[in-house]
Amino acid sequence: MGAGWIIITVTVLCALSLFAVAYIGERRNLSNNALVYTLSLAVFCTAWTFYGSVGRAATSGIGFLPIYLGPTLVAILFPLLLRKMIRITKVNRITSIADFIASRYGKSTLLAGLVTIMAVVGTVPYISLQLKAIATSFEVLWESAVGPISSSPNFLANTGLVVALLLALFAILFGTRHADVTEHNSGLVLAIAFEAVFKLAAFLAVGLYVTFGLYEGFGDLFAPERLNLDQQQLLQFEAAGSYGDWGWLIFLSMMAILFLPRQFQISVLENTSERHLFKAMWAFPLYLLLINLFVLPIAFAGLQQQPTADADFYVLSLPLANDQLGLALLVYVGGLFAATGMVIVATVTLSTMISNDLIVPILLRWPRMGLANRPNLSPILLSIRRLAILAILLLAYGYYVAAGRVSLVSIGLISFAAVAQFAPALLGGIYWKRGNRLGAIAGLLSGFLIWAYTLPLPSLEQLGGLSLTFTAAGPFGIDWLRPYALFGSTIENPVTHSLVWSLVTNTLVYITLSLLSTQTIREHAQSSRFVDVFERSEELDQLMIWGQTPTVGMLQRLLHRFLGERRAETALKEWEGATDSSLQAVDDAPPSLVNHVEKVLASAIGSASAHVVIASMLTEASLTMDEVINLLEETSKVYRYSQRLEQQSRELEKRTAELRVANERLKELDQMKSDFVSHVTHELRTPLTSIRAFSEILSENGDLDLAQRREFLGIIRGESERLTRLINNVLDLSKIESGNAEWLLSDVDLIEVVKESFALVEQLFVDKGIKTELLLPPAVPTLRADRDRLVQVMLNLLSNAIKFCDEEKGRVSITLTATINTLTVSVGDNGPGIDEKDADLIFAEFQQVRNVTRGKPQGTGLGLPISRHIIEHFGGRLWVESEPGQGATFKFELPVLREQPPPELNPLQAWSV
Amino acid sequence: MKKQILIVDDEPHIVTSLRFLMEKAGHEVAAVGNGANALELLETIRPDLILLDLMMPKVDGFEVCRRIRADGDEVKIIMLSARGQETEIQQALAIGADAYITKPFSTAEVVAQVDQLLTDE
Amino acid sequence: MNERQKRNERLLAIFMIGFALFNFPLIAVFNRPDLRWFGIPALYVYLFFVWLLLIAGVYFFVNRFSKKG
Repeated sequence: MGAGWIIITVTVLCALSLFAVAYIGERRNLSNNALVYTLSLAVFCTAWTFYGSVGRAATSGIGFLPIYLGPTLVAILFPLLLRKMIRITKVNRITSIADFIASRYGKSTLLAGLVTIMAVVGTVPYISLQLKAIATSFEVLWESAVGPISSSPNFLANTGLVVALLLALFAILFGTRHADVTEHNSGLVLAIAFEAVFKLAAFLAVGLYVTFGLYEGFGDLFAPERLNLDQQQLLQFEAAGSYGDWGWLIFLSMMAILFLPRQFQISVLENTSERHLFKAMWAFPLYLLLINLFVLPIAFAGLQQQPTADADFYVLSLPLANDQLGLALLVYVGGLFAATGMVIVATVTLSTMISNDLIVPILLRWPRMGLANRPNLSPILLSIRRLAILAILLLAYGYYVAAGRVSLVSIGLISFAAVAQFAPALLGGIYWKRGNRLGAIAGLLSGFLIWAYTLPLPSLEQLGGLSLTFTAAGPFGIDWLRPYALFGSTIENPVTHSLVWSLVTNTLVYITLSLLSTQTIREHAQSSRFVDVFERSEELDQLMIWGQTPTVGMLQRLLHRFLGERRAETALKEWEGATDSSLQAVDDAPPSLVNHVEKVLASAIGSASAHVVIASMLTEASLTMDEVINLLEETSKVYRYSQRLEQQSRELEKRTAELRVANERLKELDQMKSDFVSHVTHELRTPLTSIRAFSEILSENGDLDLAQRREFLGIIRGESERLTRLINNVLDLSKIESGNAEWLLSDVDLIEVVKESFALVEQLFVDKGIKTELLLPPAVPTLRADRDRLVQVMLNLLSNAIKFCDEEKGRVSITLTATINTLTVSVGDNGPGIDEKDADLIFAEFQQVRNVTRGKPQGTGLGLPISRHIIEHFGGRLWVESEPGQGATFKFELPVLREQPPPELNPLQAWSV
Repeated sequence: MKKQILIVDDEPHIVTSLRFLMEKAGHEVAAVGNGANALELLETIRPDLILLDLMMPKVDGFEVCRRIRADGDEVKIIMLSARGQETEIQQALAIGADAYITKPFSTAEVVAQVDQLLTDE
Repeated sequence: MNERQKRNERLLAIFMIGFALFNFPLIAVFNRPDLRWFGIPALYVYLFFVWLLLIAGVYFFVNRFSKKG
């Protein structure tokens, strides 16, 4: 019984040592280390590796190797594949592989549940493998050291169940202490790394003992004379199967190292620094090489020395047979560690997935549970997880009972093929933006169903005593549905057969449906979040991983992306100006710059978003899915809003510009008004001055002679008339300008207007000795206009001509010409003429006064402005043609009033009228 | 006490009235219709007082006044203007006018102002 | 092309070389039970030797790049 107690004590000590290591790991945070990370990856090497590889080698030679060559090859691609997965996980706060795939496809609950179920179903055989290994190794050790297990105490009789329950307890104690799963389990990682060291050491010890203790090195072990015919067969490649199977197994193990839930947990979720990958790239394959180095020697030694023993346990039985109980105990512990490491990580991982991705989403949708309103969910979460762990282990035990006699490696490969189904959705998800939820769900489901039908189902049937015809003849005798020969395919290896069918279908369905259907907006956002994770987190790159303060360049790029180059530069210049410093001078952004950038960003994307963006840069805390969605939604809302705002502000700008113009115009008008008032005042005061002066003179000088009295009275009368005229003109102008003038419209013959006007002032021409010529056509079309107003214009032009024409040899010509559409009247004098620059000025109120050379002319200075208003009112124009010294010719042109031609009239005829 | 008065105004009627008033007061009067002619005339005569209209074409009253003062001439100058704005009055006095009379003026005021300036010396 | 892309391309090349070395037809060349090196069947030696070579290759590649970086 002494040996039995030793075995039990050692087993308990192993468990305790794991707790101790985990405790240290959590206290000292030793897991943030490239070597620990690399060793923890060796959770890949389970009891399958520790015991099963030798068993596999004993029957297929190098057939065990592809499972390690695949990971070796994938390790080379760690910086491409794993790094991207790690980055995505950190950026999106992913908690499991189910969460990863679900997040990528729009945080689909359905997808999360599906992946969880697949992972559980796929992993259960694998866990049962560990149960079997632990149970068997215990039995082998016990029976060799103590005696037949059946005569041992009762609790050991059903080793498998005991092991399952103990492991469940162990995993519960170990893995479900905190509810929060996003934190790194540094204790767990360190314990796994510790186990990795121990199992490698144990395997190397037994390898060295066998090779150099039992034999004299490799050459002796493989010596041709030692090998029987069977063993000689193992030297050939063909023992491992076909080259095709070999290649597929390498591929399969490549998928496994990436997508096994526990592998994902350790290599992606528990990764603390992307930099650790660069050590793991070579150190992990080296670990694999070392742990496999003695597989073939041990297998051959076993075959040669214990032809009847279970090859899976040569590692244990060889030392036992040679009375190396200590070494056997070491191996037993190594195997125990290999198995428990896997079981702990796998159950913790799966239980998290079951609670977070399967149970809780369902409970949350079940209002009666009131789960959403509970303030503290962690007790519930922990209970769910503990129950899940127990359930998984019981399931595994069930599978162990049903398929207990299958070799370790075969069971493991079934699990591999299951998780390989994640490959299309996951790899497509991080490299192909078009991949969508429908494609992922359908692909996964189809692959999973084919896998279940072609691998675990027949393995259960084979060994569970079900109808044997199912596998041999197909369900209901349907030949092409035979699980090992779908559609009559002739792939000999069931694993390869299943993998080819399931993965090809999976991939094709995924791609086809993705191409045929569309993504939701949320999915689309997530797809670019995943595929472009490096581009998107470029600014945060160094910060998030290496924990540096943000540099000026990072802030600059951030601003560029949100604001565009121009506004970003402006914003940075603002800061330079405000703080009186130069961006060139600093590398690390000072807090004031960070604050400034945040404020500027807030103006573009809203303060909440800006804060999240900046905070994520500063604290390494990356964005969660919901934050990202919120950010996106807020941003697009703000964007739409700012677009509207921009449009409004553009309109406002336009209005402002118009207002400015109007204001300018108003100012101008105001100035003109005050000028006008000033002019009017002046023009009114001038005649008033004369009137008042002469009135006073007349009243104070009663002795004036009659002639003088008459002269003065005449001046008073004349100036009074001038005053009246001026007032009338001002009123007239203001009426015309304000649109209040009355227009008496009639059919007007312009010839008569010219003649009448000329007649009115003819005497003035005669008095001044001005020669006149009147050139009028015999008849012109009539106009629709105010006759008196046209006479007013004519009189104004004629009196101007009288005023300005040459004093000595004055000559004025008046002509009327008609074109098809217009009548033009021109009044030309031979006076001093008008400078071109003044040609417009004279039409402004009172302006003529300033621009003549011969003293102040008679008139109010309002004649031309009024005339121009009148002509323009009738749709014509009034202008002057002149050259200094050559006289001036005032012309006005009026459109001929045309009747609308009757519809039946030929346009040509109408034209010729 | 016969003094020489120069009247500069572009309004003939106002010139007539001022001439009448000045002659009646016993002064000798010369009159021109614009600033340019006034400056030209001042080359040859030396009046005691100038009645100077402000608003004239080409060379206005301000300009005439400035030129006279620029030559160091101390001749009395009375500005006449139909605008009568405070700023204009200030400006006129600043450039050397002795008095400023707003049109329409009271004949008595003009005569009194002229008398006062002529007896000041 | 930046340093990272260059690195990734080279890694992909190493990966493909490794994949080729571990597979048919190269592996078939050494599938000769009669041939032994150091008393060990050639197929075994070949696989483990290529494996070790690949690890060493990645080791030197990584160290060269990290020095560069």
